[in-house]
Amino acid sequence: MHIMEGYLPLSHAVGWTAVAAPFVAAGAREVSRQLRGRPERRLLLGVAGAFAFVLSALKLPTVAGSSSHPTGLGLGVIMFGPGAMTLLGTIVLLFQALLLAHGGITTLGANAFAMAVVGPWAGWGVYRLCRGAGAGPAAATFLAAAVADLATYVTTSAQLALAFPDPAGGFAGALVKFLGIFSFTQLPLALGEGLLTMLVVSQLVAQGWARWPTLAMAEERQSP
Amino acid sequence: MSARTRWVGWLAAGLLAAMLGLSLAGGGGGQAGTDTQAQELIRRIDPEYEPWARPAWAPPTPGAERLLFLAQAAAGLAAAGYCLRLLGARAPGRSEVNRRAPD
Repeated sequence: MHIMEGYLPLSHAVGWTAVAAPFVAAGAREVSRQLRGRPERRLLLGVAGAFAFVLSALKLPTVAGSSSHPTGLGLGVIMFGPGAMTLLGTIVLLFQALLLAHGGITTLGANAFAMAVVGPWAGWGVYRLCRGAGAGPAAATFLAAAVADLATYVTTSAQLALAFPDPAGGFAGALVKFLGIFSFTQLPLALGEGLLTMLVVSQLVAQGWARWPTLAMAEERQSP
Repeated sequence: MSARTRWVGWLAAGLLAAMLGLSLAGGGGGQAGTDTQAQELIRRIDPEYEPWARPAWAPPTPGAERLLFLAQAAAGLAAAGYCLRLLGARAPGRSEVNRRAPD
């Protein structure tokens, strides 16, 4: 889902950076708030960050014969809420832009908005929705992680369609084309990521190192 | 540890190992990444568009890029292992579950 360096017009690059920056700042405050007085959570946050680091490094084959990445943010979204993962996701993207030439500094704002803002918030919304509807925490985690992954790629498609509308079909025409590259092919990967996230969180809970977030905890983690 | 917990743990480890294996075997090989395909689509939609910035540094070969991604995954696995080991070594009375109020 990385938009490569220089592949967004300057006005779009600046605009997406301006949109993403407040979320990243709020994410930093959220991490600090959650760790204040609860230093034992640092290790769990480390696990969540490491999980994102590992999964986002995997280039997996897609059904269309291309290759793509999971995002790995679902685990942290469940354990810490979307705000904290905005910060961690942006750190992962910055690392990949600087050391792997994957993504870019000029496109960091757009990529962060897709992967570290929309993905985690979409996943968190799905988790709350599922729990509110009576679904079990494991099923809700599976869906949340899968949707967080998929929402990232849909957002990237929309960002590119906005910057490069199709000469014939306009924004909608370009969106369908970018979705064809990024989103439909991503579905099996998203489901795989959902399954792995569900199993890992289940294991953390079974070991007594974490607990499934209740709706009340969800409210608490979402508050500024 | 219950049999179910052990089973879930092995399943998670197996799935992660399968993903790592797929990534090693083919994901970074001959297949074009979706990012590259998107760049090609941009060039088709707007042939005159020229990227106005380039990465300050890029891996010299696809093999080197693959190696760097593997290094990232290995660093993540090492960090996760370290944190999980410390969590496991922690006294039960200090675990998150016991420090929080029940539901």
